[in-house]
Amino acid sequence: MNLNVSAEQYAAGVAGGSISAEDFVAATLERIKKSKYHAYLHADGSAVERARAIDKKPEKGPFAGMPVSLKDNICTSGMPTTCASRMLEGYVSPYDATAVERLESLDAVMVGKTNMDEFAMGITTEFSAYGPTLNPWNPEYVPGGSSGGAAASLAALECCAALGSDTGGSVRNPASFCGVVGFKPTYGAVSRYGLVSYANSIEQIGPMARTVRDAAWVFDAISGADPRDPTSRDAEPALGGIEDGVEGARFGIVREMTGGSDDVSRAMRSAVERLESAGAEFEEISLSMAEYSVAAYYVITSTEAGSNLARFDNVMYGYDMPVDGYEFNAYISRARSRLGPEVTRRMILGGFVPSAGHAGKYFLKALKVKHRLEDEVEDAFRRVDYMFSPTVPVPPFRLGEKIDDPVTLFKLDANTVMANLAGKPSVSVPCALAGGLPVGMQISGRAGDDAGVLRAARALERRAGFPGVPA
Amino acid sequence: MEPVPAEEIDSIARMMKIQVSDAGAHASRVRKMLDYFSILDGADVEHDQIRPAHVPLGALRPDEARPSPPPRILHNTRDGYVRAPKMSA
Repeated sequence: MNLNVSAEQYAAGVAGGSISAEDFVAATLERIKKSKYHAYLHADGSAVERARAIDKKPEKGPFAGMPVSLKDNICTSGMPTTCASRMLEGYVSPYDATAVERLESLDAVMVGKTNMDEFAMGITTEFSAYGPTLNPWNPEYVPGGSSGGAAASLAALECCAALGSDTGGSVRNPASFCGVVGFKPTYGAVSRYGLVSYANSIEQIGPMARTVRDAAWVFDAISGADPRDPTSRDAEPALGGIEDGVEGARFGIVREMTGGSDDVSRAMRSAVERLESAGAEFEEISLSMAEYSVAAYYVITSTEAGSNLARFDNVMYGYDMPVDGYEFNAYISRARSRLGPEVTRRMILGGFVPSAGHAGKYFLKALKVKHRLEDEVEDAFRRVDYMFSPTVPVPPFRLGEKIDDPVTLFKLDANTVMANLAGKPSVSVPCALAGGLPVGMQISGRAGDDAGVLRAARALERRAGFPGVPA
Repeated sequence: MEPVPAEEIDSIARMMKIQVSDAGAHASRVRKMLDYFSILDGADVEHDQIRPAHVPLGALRPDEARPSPPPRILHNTRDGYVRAPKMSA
């Protein structure tokens, strides 16, 4: 069976009778089982039964049994949710995330939970407690992160669409490294109900797919206000006008985001030329706070992580460790020894940077940088419609190459954290190959203009000539 | 800038109830991260105001009682109650 179809092609195939949901999901699960990329932490064999039931429905929902993968920090009542951590080994949520409910209500089939950096803290998926995911373009290279399993599941044809989460680029970075599309919506456009919190003031669930149209379709399905998330709000549909192009649209190339490797810079120049040929206009802009944005991002996210992960005391959430014989504090400390090294370090940072005597130097300063950056971004969007840059300053690198250098890893977020700190929609579009590995370009837009960002992404995708994922 | 002493990092870890098996390795890496964060010293934002985020009350759903989740989610339960460790040894 040909699994190399877009989500839209899959749905058309089911509607036209050339594809059976049961056969397609069964073939997908078989491919996952035989896969060498370790994109999944859990595959759900019962997905075939649900696909069979959908095949028999006289009136199918639009997704018609389409296999979807979920990052393992998105809660599901029918599968474990571990956040790739030993701390949550075997944990099954009592409820489904709103985004999952919405997809299932449209007859999508969740086929499994994908690998990630533990609690989403990382950008290579090497910090998963269950071992790294390999890049399907070259298994000696990282797939990006933290939604590396989600991106690899798409590149390896192990689903038709995926949900990831993006706190500082965790959807866009792996999308760039795996040659797929990753969309970080406007903050609030997608309900975070059922997303295990890491840094909830800036993170979002985001759709990933092999085409921009598919990402827009999934975005339309999962977006909109949810009474269970007071930060959520309605969003304009994206798929309807997605072919309208970028004639006359103004793009700002962010000067501080152009210092990438030669390969990436070449890919950016080519992408700019292609968008110009579609009628887009480019100018250079500057965000003076961009220089400080990565540090501000890590200070803020560590602080929120220190608070959010305090709930993992193994009393209400966690693994089976009897309480008998332990004093309260000793029990919690012992239970938390299952947290991985990067999570431990981030929690220590999260206790340190907002503490008395250090908050003024770190946390409060980081908040001020965030607010100033928000103002600069608002100003920039009075001049331009979109901001443009490479998604990641470098192409994918080898497994283990940078894992011992935390600051080098931090700096790879330089182009992506702006959209999170400022709450803007941002997408990564695969544009070129460098040494046989994908390079993505990033387009960010005004808050609420998710449809515009995806429209611009589609215009770029049509002209980029990217060869598609390795079949 | 003075390096943050390993003892201070260790003290924070204890306060956060985190058991650190290799304190030296963690401290070294945490110090590298903190050194990098010092770049914030160069940001000219000293006199800026912090703007707290507000969620209007109208955006919150009504406060209503809902059934508890089934006890299958809890490992340490007995007779319908959650078992927690003793507060003192």
